[in-house]
Amino acid sequence: MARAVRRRKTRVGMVLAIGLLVGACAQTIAFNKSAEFTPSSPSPRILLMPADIELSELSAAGIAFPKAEWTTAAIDNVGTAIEGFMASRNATLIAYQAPPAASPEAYLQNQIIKLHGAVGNAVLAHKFGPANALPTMADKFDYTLGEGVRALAGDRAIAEYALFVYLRDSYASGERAAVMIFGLLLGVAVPGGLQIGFASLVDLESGDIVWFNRLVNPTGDLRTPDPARKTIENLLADFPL
Amino acid sequence: MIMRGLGMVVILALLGGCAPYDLVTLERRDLGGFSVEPQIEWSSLENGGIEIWTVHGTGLEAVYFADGIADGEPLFEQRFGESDKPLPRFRSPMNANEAMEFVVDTLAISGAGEIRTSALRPAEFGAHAGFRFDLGYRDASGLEGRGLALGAVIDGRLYLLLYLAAAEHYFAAYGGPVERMIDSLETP
Amino acid sequence: MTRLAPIVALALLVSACATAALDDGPDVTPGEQPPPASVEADFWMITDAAEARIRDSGRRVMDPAINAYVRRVVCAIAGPYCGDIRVYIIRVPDFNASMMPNGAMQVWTGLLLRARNEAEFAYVIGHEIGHYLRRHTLKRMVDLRTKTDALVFVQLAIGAAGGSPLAGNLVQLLAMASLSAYSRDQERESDAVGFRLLVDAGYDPYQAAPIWRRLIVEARAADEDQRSIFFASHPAPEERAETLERLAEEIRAEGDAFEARYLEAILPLRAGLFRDELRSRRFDRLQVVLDHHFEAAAKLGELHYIQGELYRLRGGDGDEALAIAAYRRALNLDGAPPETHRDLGLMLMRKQQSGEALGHLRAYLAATPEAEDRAMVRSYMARLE
Repeated sequence: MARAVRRRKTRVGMVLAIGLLVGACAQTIAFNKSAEFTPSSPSPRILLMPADIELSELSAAGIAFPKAEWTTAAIDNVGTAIEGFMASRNATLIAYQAPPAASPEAYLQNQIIKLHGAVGNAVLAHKFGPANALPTMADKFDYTLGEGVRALAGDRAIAEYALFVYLRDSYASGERAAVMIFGLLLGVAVPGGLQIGFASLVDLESGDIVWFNRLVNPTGDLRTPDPARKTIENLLADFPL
Repeated sequence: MIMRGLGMVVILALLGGCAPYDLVTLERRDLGGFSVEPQIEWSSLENGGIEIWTVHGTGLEAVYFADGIADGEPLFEQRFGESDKPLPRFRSPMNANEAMEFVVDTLAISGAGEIRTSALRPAEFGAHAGFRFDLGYRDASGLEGRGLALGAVIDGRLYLLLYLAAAEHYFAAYGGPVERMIDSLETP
Repeated sequence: MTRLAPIVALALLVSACATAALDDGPDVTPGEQPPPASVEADFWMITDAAEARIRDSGRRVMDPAINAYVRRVVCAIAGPYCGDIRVYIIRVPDFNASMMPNGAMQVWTGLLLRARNEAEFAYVIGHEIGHYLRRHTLKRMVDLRTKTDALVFVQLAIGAAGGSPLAGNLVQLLAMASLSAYSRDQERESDAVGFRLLVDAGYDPYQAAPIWRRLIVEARAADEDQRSIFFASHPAPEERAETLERLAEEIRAEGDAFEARYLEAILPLRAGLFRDELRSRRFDRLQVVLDHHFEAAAKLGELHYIQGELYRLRGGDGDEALAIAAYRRALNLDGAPPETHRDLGLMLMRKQQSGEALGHLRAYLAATPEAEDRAMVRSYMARLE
């Protein structure tokens, strides 16, 4: 009997340690292209790319089922929060308008947006954590989309920078909460929802990613305005403009 | 967009461990059946019998080296794509057309779409007669890619240098060093 | 153990309620939009995102002619639902068609190659519309959640570590065939709907069953692990073929198969579709499909060339001779592509029949002076001379 109790305590201990590693509070890691970043204008114009956000509910088994209503609310709340943040930084936000589908402009711009996805993937894969570090990127952050990025700003160069935001968040369903409590009784920590995201700021002249931030947060709620604002403040901490 | 494995990336990052990538410096590098001068620094990785060089990450640009694929062997030992399809196997001897087909069909099964090859032509592979061809493709997300290949069948084995990169910016950005690398290629 | 029972019971009770709500729901009506804050709305959001990825993907067939033809057939069979459906033709050498709850339909090119006429193709589309009308995918989703929810409590109860923390996303789980197959009842329902749509649109009712029978033959020719992905989600093809044959007997309606019209639409793409099949190197299955095309006997020169390619790539004992014979046969018939000369020439070159090889390589270059491999072919010829 005594031995069984001891084993359970060890599992809890180990699991709690891992839990602490994930962070009881929001963790962000930011990269800047260069330490002395100077904005190209005192009141920069930022092209706000459509935020890639999805909110899910965690089933008892831990599967994330996306929820439309929550996602719509989050897109609203995040949009408002970003607007408020940028206003306080004296930056102008311009909403990205996609060109008509099947037009040559649409094709070009989609390729740039997809390239940003591939670059974002590379940054996340190689710059966060030693397991996958690239020796060629050891002391620098040198990721770019190339000059083709100018296609996003169009002929009239409507903005100096583009901001991409990606957020995924999940929330424990009632059944999941029951599993979590149940698990605690057995000494197994069952994780609840996790908020994961990144933001990247792209120079629309050179295509360079001048700033990149990643967020991991086990708490937070994007479904209502105030907590959403806190998440955006975290995500945009150290924003260089 | 992206981020299918985002959760795993976070966990892997936290677990740390030994980094699989090595630094390739500027001195001549022996790849087995041939050697090249790298021209710039690369991060290198070995995977499934293939040596892979990249600067920013293989999703953006990569040079793949195959060293002596023998009769009956596939190009890579592991599959990155749909695992219910058999990988093409090298058949010795293969002419240049068949070798190109072998490479292209392997890429197709690994997930590249709409592969277009062009300009299959004779080329020097060190002291041997080899071949070159160019290619275009799209990855699973629809991002356009471009590539070039230099290869030769020597004593019944296939040797290959394959450069693949995002068509937008990256292919051109590293095309110069890759061409100079090709010029520097020597066989024993 | 006694502490478990109430929690497990509660969980199962909660899940059971969710399922009951959808089981007896009505069919989808034309132009229907999901109510906000509903499970349907959630799945529309997921499938809208999936549809956007498909629209942009590198595997989408953009050729206007085949898209126009497929859209015409889909609209003919879908009737009032035509306006709700968007069709995407995807270049995958596998038999498959599927519809998402938001009206996005995928047709894989492997299906285009395996249907013999417009009625067969229309029936498969009608069958998928059946799944869409009866909301089967939604029900599978809810069922999946119920099953996995129940599982996790069991796992915890028996002390398995952690339930499934950070468990996969929905898409990964959908790939697990056992949890994502349509039930036999759902299959029967969709067959009935598809059959009714086929007859209502004026097609020959006897064209519903044969394609399933041919797929069964193809599956038997293949290895266990190379079966069509379609069977993973659509069980019991034999039973269904029998049912459809019986329905055709009972209804005694007349209708058209439109074989010529279908062939006309497919022929321009056929060589490319066979090239995709060759690339995947599943030769046993491919021979079955090729044999059916030989029966229809359209553009035989092209078919014999494909047969030659099959032998060449298979490369077993005796295949070299079979390939050479097939290429030769192709050259005597209508529609052999110029590559026939090249591939025959290269095979003869390997056998050191230089004179004949040279003749064929020369013929290849004469037919396609701008060929992408002309520099290489000229160098082969220089070695032979």
